Amino acid sequence: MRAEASNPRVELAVTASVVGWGVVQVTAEQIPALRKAPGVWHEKIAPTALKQADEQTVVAVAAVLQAAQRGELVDFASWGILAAPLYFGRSVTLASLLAFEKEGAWGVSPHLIPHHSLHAISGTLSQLLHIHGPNLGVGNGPGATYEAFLLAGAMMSDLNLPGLWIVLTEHDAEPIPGQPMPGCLGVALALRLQGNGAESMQLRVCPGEEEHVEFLASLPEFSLTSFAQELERTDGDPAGMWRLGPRGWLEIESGESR
Amino acid sequence: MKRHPVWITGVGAASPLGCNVADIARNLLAGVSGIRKVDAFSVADHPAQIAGVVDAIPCPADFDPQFFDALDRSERAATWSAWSALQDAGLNRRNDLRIGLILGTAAEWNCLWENDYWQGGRRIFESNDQVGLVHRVKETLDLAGPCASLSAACASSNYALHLARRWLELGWVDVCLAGGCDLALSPLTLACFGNLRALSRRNDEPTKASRPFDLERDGFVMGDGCTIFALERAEHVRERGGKAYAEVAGFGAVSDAYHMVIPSPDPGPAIRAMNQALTDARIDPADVDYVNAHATGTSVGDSAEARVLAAVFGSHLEKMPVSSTKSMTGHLLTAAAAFEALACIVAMREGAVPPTINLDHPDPECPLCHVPNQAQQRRVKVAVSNSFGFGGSNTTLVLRAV
Repeated sequence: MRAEASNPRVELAVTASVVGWGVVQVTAEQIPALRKAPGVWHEKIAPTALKQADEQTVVAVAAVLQAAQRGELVDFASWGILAAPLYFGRSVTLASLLAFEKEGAWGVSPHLIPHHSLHAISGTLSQLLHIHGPNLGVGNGPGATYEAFLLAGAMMSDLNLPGLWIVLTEHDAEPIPGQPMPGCLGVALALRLQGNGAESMQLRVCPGEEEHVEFLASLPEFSLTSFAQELERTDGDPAGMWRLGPRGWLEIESGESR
Repeated sequence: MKRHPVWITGVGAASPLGCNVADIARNLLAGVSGIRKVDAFSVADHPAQIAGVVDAIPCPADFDPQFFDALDRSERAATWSAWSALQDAGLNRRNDLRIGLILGTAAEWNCLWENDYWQGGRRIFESNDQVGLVHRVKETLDLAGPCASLSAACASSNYALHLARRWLELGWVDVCLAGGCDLALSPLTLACFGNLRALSRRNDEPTKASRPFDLERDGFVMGDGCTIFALERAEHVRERGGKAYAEVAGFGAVSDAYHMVIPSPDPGPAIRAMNQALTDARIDPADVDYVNAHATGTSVGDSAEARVLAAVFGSHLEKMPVSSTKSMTGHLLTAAAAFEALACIVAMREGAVPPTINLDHPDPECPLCHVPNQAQQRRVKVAVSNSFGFGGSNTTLVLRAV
């Protein structure tokens, strides 16, 4: 479905070229190995680099490295990073609460805030991959992806930014004590914001308007799982359109079909 | 994309220096400290036991007090501040406008789970939770535009103001509320920052503890707070005959890519962030009248920022006042940049620069044109506010008087 045909306010949409993407789905049992070796990078990544990182940070790094490899991206030092996890830091917050009850203030890990609050995924990616552009975390609750893409739209329109990483992560189910530890899904999109990228897959974001309600009703609601499946499809180029939040929408379409 | 001037037309806040702009301005210029011993929970075994504390958050005039009191503290602060900003701008209950909301909030869920846990709740064990703070405030105030929360740690609310400006320029909103809300003072966060050895341990002298640029500084003091601005495109303000406080004129952001906690020893990234912001605002460094420094009161951070300022401003630094209002409020974390933008607006409106209190023995490693302990009468047309954060974020906001 092309946005222009269906949407009278497509001029509000922001478009960028997707020059790489990565999808990493791992079980809880696979995370320790991924933590030590998250992927291929032109520099050696020390096995301890992600020692303190949250599980969602680990899959985020792996997804970005996979996207960089797929897109043959070697220089993104000036790009921005926008990372949207879901319920980030829950298990470590719980561990800290239990430690506090047992040992008092001294039992609380000094890593809790640096590595397990919302800025941590983007900050870790910046540090690990030497990315000097703006880095920020978004959302962290239901609707995080809606928030992420709308803020991405704002950053995509930044004339000074050559590219942007959008990184979305979530557990398969929330990690609840007493239940089996769930796996984790990470999706990374590498967006080129400057230069010729018309041959690449396009990503389009729009916050929507009141008059879009009927149009939006025909779209599936965005879910990270279905988005990841579309990116991973083997029977053609990724393409699709999803409803974002109450009125927004997101579209990807292949470069050749444009 | 065409650039449109974006103006701040309304302000609301809940801070250690008060919950309305008049009180905050008066206290900022009088050098009042909002820091005291924490009494909301036991701090007996915390290494740091003091903080900038927000007193009772007022209930908006047209709200049911019972409904308002039932909200959690962050939601009360954000609702009050957003409502006040709209009221101040003359935009309350304007359902005909697409009013957006972007807030810097770092530890929203961590604090929600923690506070609930201490009250005997089970939210941290439950897989489904309520929607986030921005969505709840949007619903409470019946805002018709999009909303988002973000975190770049202590640089967050500079990002919020910048991205709100972008939404306005893109035509995605008619008005955008933007700022930061961080009421993260809790047993865990105070313990975590304490165990990082980042906090002042001057527990017996709370009002003397936050000492940016002073030789006797021993760390920062945590603070709670929320500040939200109403932003509009200038032509929208003119069309409706509204008033304006200042233009959000420039923004710059560059990451250290060095360490999650420790600032880079290389001043380059922070210098580039400042230069980006000044270029974005089309402002020559010599035209800046005041800098509200990030300066939190840590030995490494304050002197590093002084070197950055020297590189950006050169000889202009000898006569351009620099102060840190964190000396009065403590460090409001993700809400810090928004409050400090308000401090810049106070300086513009009152013709006076707020002081750095407790600056008794300036560190020679920080050779700046300080404003020690007392406000100084100054004409301020252009103000710059630095905010740096964990994750290596360096941000600079430029505000220009309208």
